[in-house]
Amino acid sequence: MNKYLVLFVTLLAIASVSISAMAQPLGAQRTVRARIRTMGVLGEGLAISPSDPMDFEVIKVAIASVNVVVFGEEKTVRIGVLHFGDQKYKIKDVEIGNASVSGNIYENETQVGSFSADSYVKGTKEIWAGSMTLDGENYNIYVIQAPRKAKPVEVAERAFEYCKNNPEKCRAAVKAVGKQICGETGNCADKIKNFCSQHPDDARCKALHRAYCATHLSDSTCREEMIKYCKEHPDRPACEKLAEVYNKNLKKRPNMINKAPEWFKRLRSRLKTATQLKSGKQTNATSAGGERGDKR
Amino acid sequence: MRAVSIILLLAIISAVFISGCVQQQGTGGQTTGQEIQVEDQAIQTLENELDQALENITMEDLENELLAQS
Repeated sequence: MNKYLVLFVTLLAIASVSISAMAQPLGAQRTVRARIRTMGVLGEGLAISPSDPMDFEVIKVAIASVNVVVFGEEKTVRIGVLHFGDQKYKIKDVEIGNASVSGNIYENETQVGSFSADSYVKGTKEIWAGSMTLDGENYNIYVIQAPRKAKPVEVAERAFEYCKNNPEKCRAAVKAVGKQICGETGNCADKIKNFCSQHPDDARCKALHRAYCATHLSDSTCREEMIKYCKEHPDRPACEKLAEVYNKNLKKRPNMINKAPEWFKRLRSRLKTATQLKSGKQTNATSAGGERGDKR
Repeated sequence: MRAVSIILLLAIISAVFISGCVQQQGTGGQTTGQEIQVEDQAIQTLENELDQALENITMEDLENELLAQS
């Protein structure tokens, strides 16, 4: 009797150990999911040979910083995909700046090229313009940024992040737009995240998303939202930051300023005045400080 | 009886070791495998974004064309 009991227990132990060993990776694999953290380039355009304008190819590009949860662990990867005609390439070693992007192009883990581009505003659209080397050939590239609306989960997480980092401003923004989501005390970031994931088009969630976007202009979805907003409300302080971003690229190509859209020119002149005022104040403060110093 | 117990005990120990090895192999290979899985998943997400976005462009362009004509 004892013999059979020992045998049964042993077999049970072996079976459970083996099953748990095999089942763990399978179970963990099921948790793989990804979402965009910072969108860089997303669109379609042309790659044109600088030596022969008739040597061109259609390109489709998507580059972003992506959060991937795998085996229960969240990893952030900056990566992209390039379609050059029928060929597909991976873009790695990605750098996403404020309206600028660069990276290396790979085919089957072998580097076959590189690229860099800056974005310029035309009308209410962004155009990426830059250069690319692929398989030893040089190209000028032009990509029209496709319109993209932030997904509910992104709105919720951005509202959460904004509220976590700016609890007072968050409370004020929520209150200003309408009835409060949270009580009078405590940090309501979690409540807002939950609410905004279910109601991404709610005015309060939109306001919080915009507030986040005003300080995260390296994200093209945010810039798109701010362009729409600043076209309507060019006097808002948040729009100065947007003007600064595009102004940085326009400074490299001064002749493009004339071709910039009217709303941006207005924003730019406001930025210029604000900068002059700031530098004037600083000069006054310095000279006043200097005078005080002299008097001492 | 004692011999059977010893054999069974050895079997348990072997099972534990084998399962440990399986896990370790998984963990060792996981680093590269996991990186590839992360990249593939990210690329798949970007491909979906691209498809959706470029579909939107077509629809939007069509709408704008229709509005311009009317």
